[in-house]
Amino acid sequence: MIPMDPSGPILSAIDIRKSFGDVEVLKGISLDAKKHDVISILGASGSGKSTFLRCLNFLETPTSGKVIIHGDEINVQNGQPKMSVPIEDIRKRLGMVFQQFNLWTHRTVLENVMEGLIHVRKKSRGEARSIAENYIERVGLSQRVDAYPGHLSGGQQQRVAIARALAMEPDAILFDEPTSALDPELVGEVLKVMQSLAEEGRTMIVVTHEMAFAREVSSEVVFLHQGKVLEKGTPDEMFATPKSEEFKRFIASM
Amino acid sequence: MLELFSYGDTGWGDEILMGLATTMKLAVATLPVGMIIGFLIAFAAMSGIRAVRYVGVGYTTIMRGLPEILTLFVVYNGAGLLLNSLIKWWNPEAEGTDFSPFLAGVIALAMVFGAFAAEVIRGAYNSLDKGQIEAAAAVGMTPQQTFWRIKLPQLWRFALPGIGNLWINMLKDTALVSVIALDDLMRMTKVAVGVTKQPFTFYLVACLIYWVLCVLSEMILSRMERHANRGVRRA
Repeated sequence: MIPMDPSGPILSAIDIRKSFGDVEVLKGISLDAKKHDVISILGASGSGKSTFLRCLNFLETPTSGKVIIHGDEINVQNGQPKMSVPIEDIRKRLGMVFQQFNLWTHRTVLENVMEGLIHVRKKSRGEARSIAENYIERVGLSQRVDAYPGHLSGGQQQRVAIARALAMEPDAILFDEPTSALDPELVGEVLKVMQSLAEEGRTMIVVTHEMAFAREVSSEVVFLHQGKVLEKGTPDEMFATPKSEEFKRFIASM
Repeated sequence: MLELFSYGDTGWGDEILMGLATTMKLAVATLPVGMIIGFLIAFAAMSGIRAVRYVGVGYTTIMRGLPEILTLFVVYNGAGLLLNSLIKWWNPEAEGTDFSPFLAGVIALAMVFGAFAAEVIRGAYNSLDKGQIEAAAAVGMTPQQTFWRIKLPQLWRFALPGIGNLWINMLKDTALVSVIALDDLMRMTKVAVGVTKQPFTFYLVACLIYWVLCVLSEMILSRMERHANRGVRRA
């Protein structure tokens, strides 16, 4: 462990590169997230934004680069990660919310949220249950604790997925296009939960197409284009004075 | 007519029940062995190591191509010979031993069951939702935890109908062991027919018993499928 500067980043990605075969989809992306940051990553499809997010918790192994989470460093050279702690230790400090929710279909809402608490955080069943119930209430689904995911709407499933990530009490939560698979009328309920998390001061990194969320909720906006960071800054300056032609066009197309 | 099936020296009721018990024991003992073989072969066939993969795929190809009864003979005679020559090699003074027909039956039926089960398991494994497996990794589960807690329960759901079919096939294939002198339902029926010269009656009874076993199995299986599919929305 490297001693932590309390105002320093809790998550740093340095010069992340990723190639699939001959195609380089990430061409050296760096990003720092400090506590309470809400970073929105924008970009057209194919810009590499989801791949980058997945490199942060190593669902995708970068070809090269460095990720530092809470002082633990993972250094990747030629697709070979070198880490000081098991990858599971890194992942449990980063929650993740997926586009397709990815709830475990054979487990109820409550069981989905308890699973990681019991088997990763090693909590007792009783303790896990009360933590899980607390977070399920937080996303407004106390009435559905015993339902299976297949019996919930997409918006409800995504809220359970958020509760599942929150319950692990991660240092930061990664959101991979959390509203893109939802029917338009269900997007609002998920964004509302995300906004309340941001107001609580949770550290969030959000890959999204929701311009209103990026503009009003995030503290920083990063625009990716063809595997590179083309622009970044506070939402106010980014949207008021876009510097690159690409970002201008991107905003106009939304 | 009824006295033919009475329990005791005069009737065949007790013999047929004993035969039924042997059939059941054989099937019940074969199931776990066959499932273990099925899992091992399925994972071998999906292995990243080429040699292991060839063993897995080769096993399935060979076993599926052999008539069950031939497998049974090879195991019963071949394994018996092998066992005896091993004993002789260990201790040249020793008497030869008889290879138990029950054990031969279990091994042969399990080898066949395992080959087909491996295909069912492999298909089920490939139907698993990758997203749910990623979600398990993302909360910090180890690959072992992910296997036991997420993959296996869902694998079970996809594999159950196919495994159920194999169970019913295997239940009927147990009749083959009657040719290696194991006193199962089929063989006791044949003995009864030989003595009483009433083939129609006894074969019909055997048919009914096998049929009842299959219907019972189907009922239990459909309950198990309902349980495994709880929470899954029907289209």
